[in-house]
Amino acid sequence: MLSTRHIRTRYAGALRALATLAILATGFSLSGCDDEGPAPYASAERITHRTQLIGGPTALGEVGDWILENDQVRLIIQDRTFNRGSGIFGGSLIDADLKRPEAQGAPLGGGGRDAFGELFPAFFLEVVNPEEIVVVNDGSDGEAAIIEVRGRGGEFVTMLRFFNQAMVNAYEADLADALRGEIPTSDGVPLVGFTTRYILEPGARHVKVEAELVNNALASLTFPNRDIVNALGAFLPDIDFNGFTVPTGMVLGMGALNSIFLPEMGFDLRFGLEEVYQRPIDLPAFPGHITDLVATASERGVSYGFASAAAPESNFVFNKNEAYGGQTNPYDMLFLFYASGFGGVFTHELPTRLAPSFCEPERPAAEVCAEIEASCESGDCQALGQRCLDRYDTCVAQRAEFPDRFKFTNYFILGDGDVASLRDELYRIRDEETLKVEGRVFDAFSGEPVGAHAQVFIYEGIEDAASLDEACAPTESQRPRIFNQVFTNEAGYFQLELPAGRYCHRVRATGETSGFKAFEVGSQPLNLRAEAPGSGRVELVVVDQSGSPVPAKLTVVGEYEPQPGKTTRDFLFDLEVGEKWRTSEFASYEEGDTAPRRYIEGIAFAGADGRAHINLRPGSYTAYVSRGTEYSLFSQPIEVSAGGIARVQATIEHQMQVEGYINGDFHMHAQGSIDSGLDYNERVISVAAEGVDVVVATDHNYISDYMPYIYRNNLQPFLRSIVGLELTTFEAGHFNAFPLRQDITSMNRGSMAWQDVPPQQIFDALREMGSLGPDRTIVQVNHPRDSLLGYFNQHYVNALTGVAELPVNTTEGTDQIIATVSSPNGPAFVRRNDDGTYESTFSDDFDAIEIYNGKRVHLLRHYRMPVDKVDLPQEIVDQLTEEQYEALPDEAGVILCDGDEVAYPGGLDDWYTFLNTRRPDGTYRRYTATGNSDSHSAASAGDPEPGYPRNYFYVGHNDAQTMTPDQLVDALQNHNNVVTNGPFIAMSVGGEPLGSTVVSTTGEVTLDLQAHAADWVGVERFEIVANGEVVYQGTIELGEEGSWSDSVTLELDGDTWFVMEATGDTNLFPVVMPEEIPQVDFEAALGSLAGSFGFGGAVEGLSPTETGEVRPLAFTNPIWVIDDRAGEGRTEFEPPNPAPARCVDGAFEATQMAGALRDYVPFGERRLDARSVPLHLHEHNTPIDRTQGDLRDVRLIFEHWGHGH
Amino acid sequence: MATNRSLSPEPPSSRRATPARWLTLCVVLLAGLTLAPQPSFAHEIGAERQVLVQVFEDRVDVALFYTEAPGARSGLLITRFDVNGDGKLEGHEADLAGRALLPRMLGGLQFELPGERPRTGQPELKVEVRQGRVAAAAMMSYALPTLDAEATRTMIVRALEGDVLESELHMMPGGALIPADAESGPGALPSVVRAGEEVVASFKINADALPEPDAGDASGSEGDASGQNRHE
Repeated sequence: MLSTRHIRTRYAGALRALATLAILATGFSLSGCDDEGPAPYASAERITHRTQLIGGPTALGEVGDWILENDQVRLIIQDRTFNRGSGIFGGSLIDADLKRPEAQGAPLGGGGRDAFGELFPAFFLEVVNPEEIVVVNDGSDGEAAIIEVRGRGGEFVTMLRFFNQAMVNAYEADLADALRGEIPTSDGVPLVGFTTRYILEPGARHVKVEAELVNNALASLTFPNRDIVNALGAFLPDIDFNGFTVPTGMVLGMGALNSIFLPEMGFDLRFGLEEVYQRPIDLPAFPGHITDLVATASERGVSYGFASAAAPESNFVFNKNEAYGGQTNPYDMLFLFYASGFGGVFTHELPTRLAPSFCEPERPAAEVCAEIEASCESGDCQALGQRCLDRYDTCVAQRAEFPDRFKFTNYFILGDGDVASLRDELYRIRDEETLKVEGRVFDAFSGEPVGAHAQVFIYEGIEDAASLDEACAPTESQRPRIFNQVFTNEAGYFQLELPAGRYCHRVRATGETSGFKAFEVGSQPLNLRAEAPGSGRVELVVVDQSGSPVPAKLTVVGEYEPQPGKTTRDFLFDLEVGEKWRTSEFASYEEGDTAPRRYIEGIAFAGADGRAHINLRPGSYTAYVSRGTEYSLFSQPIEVSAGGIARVQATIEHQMQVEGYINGDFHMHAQGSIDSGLDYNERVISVAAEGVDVVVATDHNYISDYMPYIYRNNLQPFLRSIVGLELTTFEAGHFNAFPLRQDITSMNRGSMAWQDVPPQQIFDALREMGSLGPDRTIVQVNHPRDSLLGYFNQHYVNALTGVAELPVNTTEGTDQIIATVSSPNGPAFVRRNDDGTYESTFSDDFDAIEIYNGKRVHLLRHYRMPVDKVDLPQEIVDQLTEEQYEALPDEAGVILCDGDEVAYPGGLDDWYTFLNTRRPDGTYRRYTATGNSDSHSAASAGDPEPGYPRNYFYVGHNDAQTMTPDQLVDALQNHNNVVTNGPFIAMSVGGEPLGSTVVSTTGEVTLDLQAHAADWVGVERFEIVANGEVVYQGTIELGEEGSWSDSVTLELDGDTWFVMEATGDTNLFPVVMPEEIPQVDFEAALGSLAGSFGFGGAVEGLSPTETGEVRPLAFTNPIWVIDDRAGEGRTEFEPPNPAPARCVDGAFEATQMAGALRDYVPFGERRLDARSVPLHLHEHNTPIDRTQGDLRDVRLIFEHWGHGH
Repeated sequence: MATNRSLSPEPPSSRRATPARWLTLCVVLLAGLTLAPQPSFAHEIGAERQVLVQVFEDRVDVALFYTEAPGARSGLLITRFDVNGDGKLEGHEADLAGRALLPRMLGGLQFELPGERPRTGQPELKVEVRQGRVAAAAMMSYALPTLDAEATRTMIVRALEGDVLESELHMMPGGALIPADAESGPGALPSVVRAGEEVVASFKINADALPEPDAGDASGSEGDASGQNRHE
């Protein structure tokens, strides 16, 4: 029998077993219930396999880059290779996405949704040129993962090199060198070192970006360089340089797929920033918008934000609190500008002095200096060690007083696609108290919940309003301040966090944006019901005259009544909440004109199936259906009601067909370009819908091929594409090359490094990438006169001679100093000869010039005096100094000069100059003129539509589908090309087409002319240009078929080239939108800065107008005629080489002066020759007679000095 | 396949500018910060300077003639001092401009009379604008103890090391003085003084010019002895 003790023992054991089983079972069930994702972690490593990449529409990451990730987000930092985006250096953050388990591990390189451009810190305008990238912590210890980029100073704009050195002391720079005309380089010893640290905590949806500058010099450094500031004070005494500090911040390339949102401006950066620039601001403050968050929104499911860590000591804005209105915070940022996906913010400022870092106060000098000498890699290491010893004590003393480095911290935040998810993370970072606000949006018409991506806009109510309702009732002087935005999900729900306070919301789904509705966030979470105004739908079916569906564009046009004193953006659409710009029929209207005006409400595209649809605000409209300028234009009135469908059935006919020619657009952007991001499918449909036959894919630094998308969308009967590239440098020009090979194994599909590469090398490399071989590759210079993006402008091509002239070689005195320190430099621009002189690296070795880019007719010709001088309006005269007014031409039509240069050069006049002259190497270059849209979107106001302008090039047939790249190259190399935004024109001589060289033995030539246009396009007049001068003008009267022909016989005066130009009067609205939005008025921003320095801006009224309607415009390539009436059997065309005109001190001189001897030596050319005494120092009042032995009384000479003696 | 025009709240822009463009536009004007060299850098391209030194028995007259280079620097100077905006520097404008210019006119030059301690008063200044460039003249007179009959007076004009404007230089005797040696004679002295150089000239009293003890007329030293260039 078991004793009682034994029984108890056995029972206890059973209990223990049961308990263990229970515990184990609980443990299993607990782990089975845990579905909140992985535990927080962070990691950093180098990418070794494509499955580690993020992927997405703008992903640039590649094997060899660095990945930083945690349980929430994934980011890629580019390795120290040439920048694959639009920047210069590696080491920047290039890809970013939320963690999506389903998107990882894809062998093709990531299935994520990266839509980010790039981000990198800037110390004023100096960036980090990385020399080393390391993983400081790989996160395996559970702490933050950290990747560090270490390097030296780098310039992303070479013309700022000297200025950056003065501000940031990046390199040893000798001011005297600049004064002696030595162009600055970055070859000097780096005085400071830079570090960018990316820190990702486990569980965080943001990465901390720490940027640091350390003084590596042997002495303390001042920021800016104190000597330069002191020098300025002597010459600019009215400017108060007290308190001038060097700002630091970030360059934010958010990318064109993302819409930027700023508190107070919402999505309206265009006019919000312009308004900010109008406000005067004094140094040391800069103009810009104060904000605590830069955010993006996108329906793609990821959004990006940027904010600054609070730093009361070094925050740029906070330290200028008074200048910026007195209510700033230590985490505020100054948002300077934003354009085409890139912007700049200043967040902090450098201290005015940094001590050297080489000494270590706790260690003896001998020890430290011995180490420095031992680790020295170049130069006189012993001298370095000695200098270390000599300066050690001073260093230690300075270290006791000043820091040796400066660090600033900002945050890069990832969100779910809206601004609210970014703001929520920022509240967490700042530990701010918030409450949950959630709600649901319903369609106001149907009462049903809306679907995904309806938007709710949150405003801060008017401060000190008497009631909640009044807080959301805008008045003349106050209105609610937009500060957040949130998307709905598929069921119409939204959710965000807000601090307590009074707010207003507005809502938009597919229709209008609603008015303000007030709500208050108190102490409890809030649930809102919001209503979005309803929309209607338009559905289109379009066929051609044979009844076959065709791609086409639907443009819905409405009417509005003008409101006195208001622009359309005040009442017709709201940019603040991201509504699109609705373009009006004309760019400007006469004052007092009260007639209703037409505007474009919406645009949609029909693909190969001829079907399109669009949701619109309810209203009465006219639907237009078009297919470029060869087809007729269909129109039909429609009524769009909320919840209703308006149907349009359209037939369009092919009215203009030109035998042997097909049309092409050789400059097109889509997803591969950081400033476009347009889906390739949408791109090819929009191009086909504009009736373009051939499109060359030319993304920035990315080789695209549209053919797969053309096939995918069944567009191959309508559209052919060619693989190409726009090689985009930062400041040395943009160049298209086609047809090219595409390398799908590289992240940019085979594009090349361009940084610091001279033009000739770029052209050679582009030709090597040609798919038909180097000799059959077209290299086209794009928009050559587009300010900083124009190849001719940046290389200082003289607009009247066509020759590149380096400013350092053509200026003197102070002008030369300015040219030395502020012209583009580096190997891409200048070559230094052995004798210390400089020459330009400009190369003539290109094939074509894109003379007509988009709608920018103001870049066609050298700008000419618009009216006779006596007729200049007083408001223009008032902006001119007496000298400037005197220098103006008396007559209208004369080229306007600015000093010794053409004020506003144009590509067409440049081309005529090239046609008239031999290049400096003696060759005669027959560049082919082209015209292209440079379109970046499908149909956005302010961006050219595809195909306007386009080229008609001769291939001998009209079938785009059978066209080969060889035929395109032949046409362009043979110069048989017409540039047009609508009508087709051509000429021939004795049957010889455009691009031909013919011989005349009679002293005359007969030009056979033709013109064609669709009925709604038209063309009214033509001019014949011979050797650059208009020699004949005539009218064009199109017949019923839309065609015209005529012949003109002209006398020759030597070898002559002829070009035909034609223009029309029709406003091509609504098919082609007017250019209604002027460029961002950076003049206002520059003016506020420039005014402080005593500089002026452009003279308003005497500069080209950038806005206007699009009217028919076309021009041909030349026919060259050899005048061989002497019967010499000549076959070579001799360019006429007319006497070049000149700009001299603002006056245009058309007569020849170059060869004439001058009878006096200008003052500036006189120098005090140390070896011999010049005969005359002055033109008059010579104080000294240099006859030897002649004694004069100094007093007498002094008394006689001056006027009247 | 139909395609809706996608939501594009992105502010429209017809230029595809890189960031550098706008940054550069913003700051190229700021490059004006680097326009001017430091005042201590007296090597200025395009400026010219002439120095006339005349040594008398009881003084030394130094006249400086300076012309600023045409262009921005002259323009800035004019802007700074042309208070009434008439394009000229007159009256007090010229006074102010002259005072500001004087350091530049004198920059890097030293005048030394070994063993003597000259005393000077306020310089006389003239400034004017000539064809858009600023020109100035300064006259300084240094009083000295009257030279003894057998003594020699040595004048040194020195240009300091570094970036010092080359100057045309004329040193000549005045009053009753004549060159003390061949090297100080007319045509023998260097006519240019460059950085790091000095020109030394010695003068003595012309015995023939000394008045007889009982001549009666106490001739002044302002050119009487030479009988030349008497200012009327």
